[in-house]
Amino acid sequence: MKRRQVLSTAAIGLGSTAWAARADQPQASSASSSLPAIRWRMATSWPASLDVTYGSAVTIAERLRALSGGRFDVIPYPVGELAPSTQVLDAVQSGDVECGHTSSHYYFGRNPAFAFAGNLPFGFNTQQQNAWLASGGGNEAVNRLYGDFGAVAFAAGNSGAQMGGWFRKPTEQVADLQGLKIRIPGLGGAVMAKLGADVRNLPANEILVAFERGDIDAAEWTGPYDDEKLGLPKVASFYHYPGWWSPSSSTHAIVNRSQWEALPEVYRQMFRSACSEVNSLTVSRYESLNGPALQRLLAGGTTLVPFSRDLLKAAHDAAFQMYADLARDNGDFRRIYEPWTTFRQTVRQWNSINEASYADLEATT
Amino acid sequence: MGPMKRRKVLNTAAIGLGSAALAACAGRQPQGSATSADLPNVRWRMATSWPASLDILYGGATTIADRLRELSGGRFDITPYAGGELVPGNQVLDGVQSGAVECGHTSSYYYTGKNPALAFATSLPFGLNTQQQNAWLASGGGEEAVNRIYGDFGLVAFAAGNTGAQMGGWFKRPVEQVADLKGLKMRIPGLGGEVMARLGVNIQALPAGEIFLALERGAIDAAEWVGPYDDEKLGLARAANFYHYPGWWEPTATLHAIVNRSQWDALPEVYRQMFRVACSEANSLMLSRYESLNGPALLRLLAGGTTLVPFSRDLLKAAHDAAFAIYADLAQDDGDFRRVYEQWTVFRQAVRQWNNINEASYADLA
Repeated sequence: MKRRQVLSTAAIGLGSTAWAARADQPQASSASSSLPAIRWRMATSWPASLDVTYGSAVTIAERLRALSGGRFDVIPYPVGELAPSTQVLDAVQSGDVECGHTSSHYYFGRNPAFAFAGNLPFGFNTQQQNAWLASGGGNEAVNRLYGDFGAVAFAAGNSGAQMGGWFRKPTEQVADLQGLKIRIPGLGGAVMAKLGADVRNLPANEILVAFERGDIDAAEWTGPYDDEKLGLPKVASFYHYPGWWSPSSSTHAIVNRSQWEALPEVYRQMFRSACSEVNSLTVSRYESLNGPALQRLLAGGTTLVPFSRDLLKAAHDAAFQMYADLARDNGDFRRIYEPWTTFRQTVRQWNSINEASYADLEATT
Repeated sequence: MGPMKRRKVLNTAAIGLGSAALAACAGRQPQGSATSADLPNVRWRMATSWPASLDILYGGATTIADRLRELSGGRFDITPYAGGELVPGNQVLDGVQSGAVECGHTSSYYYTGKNPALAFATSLPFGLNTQQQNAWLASGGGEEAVNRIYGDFGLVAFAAGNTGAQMGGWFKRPVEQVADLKGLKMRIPGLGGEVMARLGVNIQALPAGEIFLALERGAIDAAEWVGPYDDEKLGLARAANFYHYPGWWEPTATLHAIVNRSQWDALPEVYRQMFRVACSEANSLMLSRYESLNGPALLRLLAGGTTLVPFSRDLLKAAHDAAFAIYADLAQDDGDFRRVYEQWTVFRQAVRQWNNINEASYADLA
């Protein structure tokens, strides 16, 4: 109740200056002398202990304060404080909180096309995903989806290519997946279910306990640095790769549209820029920290296990069959899937020349 | 407008910064004191190394300028200039260092003659890929290392663009073996050029705008610039048929925005923050644009008769070994190079190990 009151005060505090600075006026008229003090709360899907992913929200807030001279003040809250991990969108849509930081694939149940915002199994790598979002029509497509929920969205973090998760027993073949209780959300979970797994979704902070209770036999989160923090190597020994369901995974900052429209134009620009910076900074942090974390895990007794080619082939085929079904049944999914497929073909052709030929070389030198 | 007039505009702008800017320069004051109420109008010029026709590369500078205007409500106003308008394309550092212009957008490896360690700021042959390079810069000590070097020139620097992995350039004849390189006249700058020189190439450095004529007239036999989208714009496909890959000398290429330190210190703290965030946005947006536009451009080139030619493994191996021999020599002779190289090597090993698991295993599959 108290939090609700703070929010209302802040919202009222926006007042007339904010509305006076609508985007259709010339920029100079949003002169900085009249910029209001604004306080927002940001509900996140992350425990604060995951300092890189939760850190995305923290860095957005820090940048906004730095850019606005302290006047645009966003306070991030860890998962569960304002909303459960998979209900950040609801909280933002209803106006309970002004903004959030979350993973779009948690909302796959509302609209399967949300999967594109995060990434699809066997979809883009991180560079391709960012290119699709920023200059391949992706941001526009994602915002049409979020628009239906009264929200605007900005790519604001990325885990990079993920690992294939933690298993109590090595799981190399499709047969090993039958009845396996695994924590994996989104379309990756849907593919796993098609292959026979018993799929669950749990927020980060509940995975360890579920393992300990025997509620799950396997779980994926992101990669070495985060997984180590969640304690997953203490409950499972076999660390699989590659994380074919998340060859890249974008997180998004989402903002209630009424709050967004009430912002002075320069604050909107600041929000956009802060998200852009965080989007690249987060993947850089993971790139820098995952290597040393993986070495620690291996030194601590974790065993790396590659998925078999057969399992990967089966998962790949199941995934693309599912996309075909979704495109047939769901107009939103179809409208994104078609241009996404074209973009993917072209960028893969290009990267097979400029990147893969170099990567081959790297592997042998 | 002549050079003298431009100089006057600059002085006026610099004076216009006034006391509010100086009051906010230490950065030690509480953020709340840099209230936007008294933010000054600041006009800067940005010298770039690029012809305006290279709209993605030059677009790195315009992105920064656009974002700064949007973030500041039009008060922090930077005007980019094409290469040669204010200073020659490969002398942007000098122009900014002297204070003739407040800031620039350029490629650090144009200045390896001043300090070979500036190569790390852009890319090393057989070095980091783009994601690794960005990670090294942003959270692996790279930005700090790069700024220690630029600091000696009275500059601060921000990563502000990236071409992604480049192509291996245009050749009048296919060049597959090391023997084919002997005596070849090729436009290739930086450390890549030095490696090529060790392999027998007669290397030349030419700005973008002069490459086509040199190649067409036969003054050079080969030239590299960036990749399909830019190379098509420069007309290189009309002057040579054989397009080689991979561009082992630039598996990534970071561009930098550089700022004269006195001008930087005089900026209000919020403008410094805006400059930083605008560069970060330009850094990722440029890469995304290249990723989106190179594929279609490559298809157009192939449809127009260009032939793709991979460098042979032997040539790549010889180039790799020559490159690392050069790094060892440089590290021995130059303290700056050695300090960055040692730290860079440790980072590279760890990130490559990680990417072998999470990226390469997937790339095999995809």
